[in-house]
Amino acid sequence: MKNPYLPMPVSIADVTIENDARDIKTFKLTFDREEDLAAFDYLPGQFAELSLFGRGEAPIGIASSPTEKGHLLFSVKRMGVLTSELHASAPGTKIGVRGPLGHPFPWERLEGKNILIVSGGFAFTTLRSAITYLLDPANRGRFGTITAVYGAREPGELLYKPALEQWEASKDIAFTTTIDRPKDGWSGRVGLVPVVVKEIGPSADNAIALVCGPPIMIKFTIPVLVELGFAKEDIVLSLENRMKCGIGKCGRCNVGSQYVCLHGPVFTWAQLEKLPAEY
Amino acid sequence: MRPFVLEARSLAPFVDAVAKAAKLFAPVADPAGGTVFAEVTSAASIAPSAPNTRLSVKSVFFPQREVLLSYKASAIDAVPAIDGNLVVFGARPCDARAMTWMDGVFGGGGREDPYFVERRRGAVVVAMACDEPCPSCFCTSVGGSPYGTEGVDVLASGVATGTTADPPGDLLLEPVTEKGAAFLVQHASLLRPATSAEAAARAQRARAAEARMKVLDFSGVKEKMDAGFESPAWDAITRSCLGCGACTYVCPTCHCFDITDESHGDQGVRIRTWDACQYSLFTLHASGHNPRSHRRARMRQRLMHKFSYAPETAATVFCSGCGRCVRACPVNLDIREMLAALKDLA
Repeated sequence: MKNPYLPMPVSIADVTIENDARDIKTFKLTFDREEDLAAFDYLPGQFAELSLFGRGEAPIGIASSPTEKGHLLFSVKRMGVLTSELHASAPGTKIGVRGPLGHPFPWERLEGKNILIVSGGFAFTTLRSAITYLLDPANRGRFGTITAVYGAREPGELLYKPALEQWEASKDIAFTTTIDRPKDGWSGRVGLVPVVVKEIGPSADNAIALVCGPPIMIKFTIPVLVELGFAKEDIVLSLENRMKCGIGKCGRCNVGSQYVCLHGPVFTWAQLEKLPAEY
Repeated sequence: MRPFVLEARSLAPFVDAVAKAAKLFAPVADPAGGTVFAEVTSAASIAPSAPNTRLSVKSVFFPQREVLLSYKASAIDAVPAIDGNLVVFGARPCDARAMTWMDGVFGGGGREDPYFVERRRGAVVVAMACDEPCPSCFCTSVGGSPYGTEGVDVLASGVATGTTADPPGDLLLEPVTEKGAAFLVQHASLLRPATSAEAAARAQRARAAEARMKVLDFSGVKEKMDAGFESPAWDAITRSCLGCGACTYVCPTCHCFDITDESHGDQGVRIRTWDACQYSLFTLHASGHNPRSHRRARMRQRLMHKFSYAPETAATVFCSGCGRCVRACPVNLDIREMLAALKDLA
């Protein structure tokens, strides 16, 4: 019997500071054992538990795409004991990874569809994974148009800046970056994410929306999507809840009959509407 | 296979023999009061469990504190081997039944919990029937019985009425499963076949025990809870709750846990410990947001997990009617009264 509580040994290969506040870093991890790399079979939307012995574990969305071979990316905000230790860790540090956990975005359903991606703030990480996966030459032909809106409070809080520039220039994706309020030196779009989505007005025809963001953004984005004609089944969200085991046993992330770690973190709005709003 | 009788005078050698062949868990006196399950090697340390152990039998399979792994620096040093060769003697039918639901929790969802599952796979559960159910028990209201056999490998009951006698008198041992029958055959030299009269008297005792219990009607409570999720009734039933979580620790079906590291220098152990939905920290996000920030929401979670969510996911309520939460509550909250109050929601 495989023991799901044992982390796989990985090493920090690289660290990127993502924001001006310097409290979000992206960690590039490589597997210490060849067989773990081969066994870590994941799709965008899943998460894993990062483990630092002596500090514990934390569930973090996987920011890399399975099309990026040989390593994993995790963007981590410095919040508590474990994430502070991680932020203080240099390349070469050995840590642990347990996963992949949870269900990915519904890739089978997404095939052949036009895809709308809506994201705000720090929740963009698993959508970075999704966009990278979608734009991979081997995958791009399997999907229709791809439209994305990504917003942050201010320019300095935008993640993955080199990738954003590439996507904005790409013909394979209509990518819009926006910030909440005007800021000196920012010549790009200004406006809250739901407002920008409404202005762009993507068609709901044969389309599915992937939405990740803070609760307030979700709250105002869903009515916009419904107004655009998206069915509740075609609005796909990713939840966060406090977790420990990540495999639907410890009870922490339980919402109604569902466990966010096991049955989610990806749910459709049609599913969430039937659950208590305990997330 | 016919039942056996374990005569009172054979109890000590029987316990010796069982403890020699397997890890034997039975109720022992606890310094904190009452009895709890612990490993025993002789009959002398077994304490009568009347009316029931203070902590449920879950502590055998899912210890309150358990090492998942030990580490040195940044590497796993060792993972404890789980010894599944164990016998539980004297669990009540309510506890034995509850463990079958925990099998679904720890063994299901596509990921087996090896620590729990390994112990359960090998364990022989010798349950002790209840001839004198206590006033806080309500197993017959949730589908169980003081002589229930769900999750039981061997059902023990007093040949004379009153299994709670101290020391216990002669015990009738009935095999329920093949594992239970094999266990009895293994130790047959210390047992004698039951007479027809002894075997026949057992049905009478079971009926008498069941007749002592008041049957409460919990039908429709799920629908009331689901519809009344935002009802002020939750405030009313939770008002006196201290949030101590005692109800969850004594419950045989509460299975929430925490995972933490205990370090000494650069080495230590990653442990899991019982945790509870009754604590606000249980669901607190790193951002400061808390999906269940109010006590009423946490009590609602406890009751709805057992009586609404479990029926959806496991096709059963997660309550065996053991009554421990009723007995343990420092402010006399009674789950039966809380359910009744919710059922009366308009």
